[in-house]
Amino acid sequence: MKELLDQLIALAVEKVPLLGQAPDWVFYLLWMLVAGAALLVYASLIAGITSWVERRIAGRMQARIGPNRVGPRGFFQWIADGLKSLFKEDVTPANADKPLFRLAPYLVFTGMFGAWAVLPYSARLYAADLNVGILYVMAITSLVVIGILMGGWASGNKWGLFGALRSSAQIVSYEVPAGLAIATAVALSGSLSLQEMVRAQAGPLGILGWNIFKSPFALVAFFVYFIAAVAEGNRTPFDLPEAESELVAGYNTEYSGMRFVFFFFAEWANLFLIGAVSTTLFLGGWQGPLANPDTWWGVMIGAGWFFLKACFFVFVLIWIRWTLPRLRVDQLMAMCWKYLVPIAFVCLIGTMLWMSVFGDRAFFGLVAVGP
Amino acid sequence: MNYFRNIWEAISSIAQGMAVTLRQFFTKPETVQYPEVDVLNPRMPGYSGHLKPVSERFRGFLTVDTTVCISCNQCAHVCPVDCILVESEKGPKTTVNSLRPDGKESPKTRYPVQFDIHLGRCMYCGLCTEVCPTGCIHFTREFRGAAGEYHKLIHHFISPEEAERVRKLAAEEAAKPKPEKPVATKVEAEKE
Amino acid sequence: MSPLQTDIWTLNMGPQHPSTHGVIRFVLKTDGEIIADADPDVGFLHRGLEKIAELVPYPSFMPYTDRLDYLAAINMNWAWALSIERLAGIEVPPRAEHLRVITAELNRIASHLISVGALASDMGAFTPFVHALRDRERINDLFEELCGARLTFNYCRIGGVSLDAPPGWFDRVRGFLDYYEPMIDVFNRLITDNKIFVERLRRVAPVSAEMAIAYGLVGPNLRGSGVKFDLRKDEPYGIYPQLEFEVPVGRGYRDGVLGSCFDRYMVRIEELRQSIRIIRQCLDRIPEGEIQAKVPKVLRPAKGEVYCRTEAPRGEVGFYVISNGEKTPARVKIRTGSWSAMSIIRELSKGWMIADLVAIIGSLDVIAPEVDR
Repeated sequence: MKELLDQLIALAVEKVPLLGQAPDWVFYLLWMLVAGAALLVYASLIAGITSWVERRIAGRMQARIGPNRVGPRGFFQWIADGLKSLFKEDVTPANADKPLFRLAPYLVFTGMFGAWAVLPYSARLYAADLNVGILYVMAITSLVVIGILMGGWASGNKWGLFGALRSSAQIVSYEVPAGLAIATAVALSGSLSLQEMVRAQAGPLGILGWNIFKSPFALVAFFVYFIAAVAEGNRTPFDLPEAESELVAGYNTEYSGMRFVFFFFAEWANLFLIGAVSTTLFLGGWQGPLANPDTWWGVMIGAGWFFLKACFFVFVLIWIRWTLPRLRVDQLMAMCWKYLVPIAFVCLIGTMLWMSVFGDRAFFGLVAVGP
Repeated sequence: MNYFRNIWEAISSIAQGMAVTLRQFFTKPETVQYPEVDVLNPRMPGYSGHLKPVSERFRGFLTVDTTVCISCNQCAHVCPVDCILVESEKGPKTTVNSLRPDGKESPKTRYPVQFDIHLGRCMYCGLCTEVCPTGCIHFTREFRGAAGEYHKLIHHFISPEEAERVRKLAAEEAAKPKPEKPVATKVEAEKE
Repeated sequence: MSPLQTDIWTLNMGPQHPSTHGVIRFVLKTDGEIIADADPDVGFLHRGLEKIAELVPYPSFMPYTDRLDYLAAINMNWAWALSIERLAGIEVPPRAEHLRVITAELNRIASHLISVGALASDMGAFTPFVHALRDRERINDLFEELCGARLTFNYCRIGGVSLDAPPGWFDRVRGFLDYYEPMIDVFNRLITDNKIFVERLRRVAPVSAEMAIAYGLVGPNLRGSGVKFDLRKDEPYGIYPQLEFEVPVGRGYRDGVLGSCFDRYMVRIEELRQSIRIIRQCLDRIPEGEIQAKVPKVLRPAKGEVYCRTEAPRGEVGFYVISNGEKTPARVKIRTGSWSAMSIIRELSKGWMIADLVAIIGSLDVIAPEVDR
């Protein structure tokens, strides 16, 4: 994007010579603000619409219709809900730790939204391409646990604290298998930058080069990563922090109005984020038939592929949520340390061995790729 | 080996469950869109599922046909929650036909001057409709009856004017030494 | 090495809590997630039904029995009708007996559907609950056609039932059974077989047979502990002696512990099949005839007392009625299954987690109106 930006600056300076006086950082700051705003709008739209989609899908899976009153097929339900929450009384409990109580939703939101900056929406469509992109994603999403712990603690509610403690135990534990599974993908792609990782998954038909097809170990690692990501996102069957039937509403028991919306905004934005990161790491990101990174229409098709794949994951996540019961907290830990972590280790080592035998050959070593 | 069996069981059972929800996802919802679909209409236009409209025997609000009521007070006696209040005056002797299919005749000497049903208390058990000898108190299929104020839930089935008229009639009747048939037919005619 | 000590917390669970099935309150003492003590606090739904029974005539108490357990109203109606019939020596016509069995077993299916669905929803899976309600809706439709109500049926009468079946009703019941029988397997695939669900329940809070008997557990909760005791078999009433069915008992399903939450759950699932079997037999052999015995308008049973118990979905429901020869009973005592189930929770939940307490309450199928009356 930097080349494009430099061209734009040059164009602006040429048309309005006065701008030449301004230092470069002004332009970069402006650019960041514009990009940030665009991303925020995009994320809000996705999160809002996902909330409607989830309720519709849940309805159909339960022989119901789901929201269908506001707008065609209830499409504007999320706007109505947002407005309603905006006008609601914002209650802060009397014995809450007020500054922390107010800060917590923003931290959760920031943690979730920060990761959107580096997502490779398409070959040349991204806000930033960090050379340690995937590390950045892991780091910034860890901010969420601080927000949840803060919110649960500051509410001055025991149910809230239970939820917060469960959440921190859960997210910290599941970072391990997630990290190991990500390491598998990194080993396959040879880069930490998300763009580079996607480019490394090029292959015949745009499909056969995907990481999950590189080796059977990568396929298993993909599932490990997906399960760990669901757990980090506090979704059923790992929704212990807000386990409705046990902890009333967990860490957000005391939240209402706009702050409550921030928590839920983060949850739904996270659905897309899980899908996007899984896609990037294992399903070839924007790689797909006709997704040519060198032409502008190829880039657009790539964006379409990326969006489609991420949406598929969103659907699967919703589908899982409305099917499965919840684990108990000790079973959750047992599952992480006894099953996911060993399997992830085996996957990582297996993938490395596989690579040393088959090299870069794609589709389980059957297809030779590249020069 | 238990270790791998656990993994296999988890994966296969979760896949099974997800197949069930996916199949439900592609079947039609069962919901009746209530205010749009007329549930009192036996065909329920606009709904094609298997759910039934409000049935013929549905126990909705109680209603009373006071012209057939013989003020026997049995409904008020049997009511477990005392939501029925009947007051009556002695009037000219006539007979009424039951509203039930058998159309049985019952003698009528007492005329209700007040017949109130407190729908806020009523629990729709139907005991009153079963003891009523003339079937004058019966259920309707109507179930929409939200009221803004509590006292509006008390349904008065006899208007004050009607009560006044019956009282006058009863006073005339009491003044007369002997009741005659024509008076009764006059009452019936007026009620028509 | 001594384990890490943490402070004991006092935690208020209920009366407004998503999984206490009505207004039931527990005062929990927890050590982290582990429960040290769960003190049940009942009485939020107390309506004084036993006192009301002394104030209204015998037939007029019938609608109150609906409210005794609103998920199994007909079983409650039947228990009251049977008590008074025994007290006053009334013979019930055979057609009415068959109608009672059909409706009571349909009601048992409806009640067990709520029970198993609610347990699944307590475990965090909401869809099975809605699927159970979806099937229960068809039963409600059948009942609405039969007696006009969808929940508080008030269908049985002393000496019979209130209404005969409308034309074609038996065929529709048969249609429902044909639809529903395969749906049990679908439901099993959706949730019963689910590994997470099984693991959550199969070793949790086992009740031994001795403990179950000592606490007076009844119904599926008792049978879940492996005690084969069903009033329909062991102290038969109505036409149950003429019907063929089995009494499912817990046997440590899925390598679990005998009497665990999962056993209690599975007993209910198996009872669904048995109920279907019973209804099919009744539909095949229902005779024509009267539906109501001759009962005096104002019923004054002779002086005496009776204790009559029947098998409701939540176990034994018994009415102890003393008559003075008046038109209202002198004293009525009601014994319900949820009450004894409630008393065992304190003992049972010690050492288990909060998430397990939810499973315990759900698997014992405690509902508030039966506890408080």
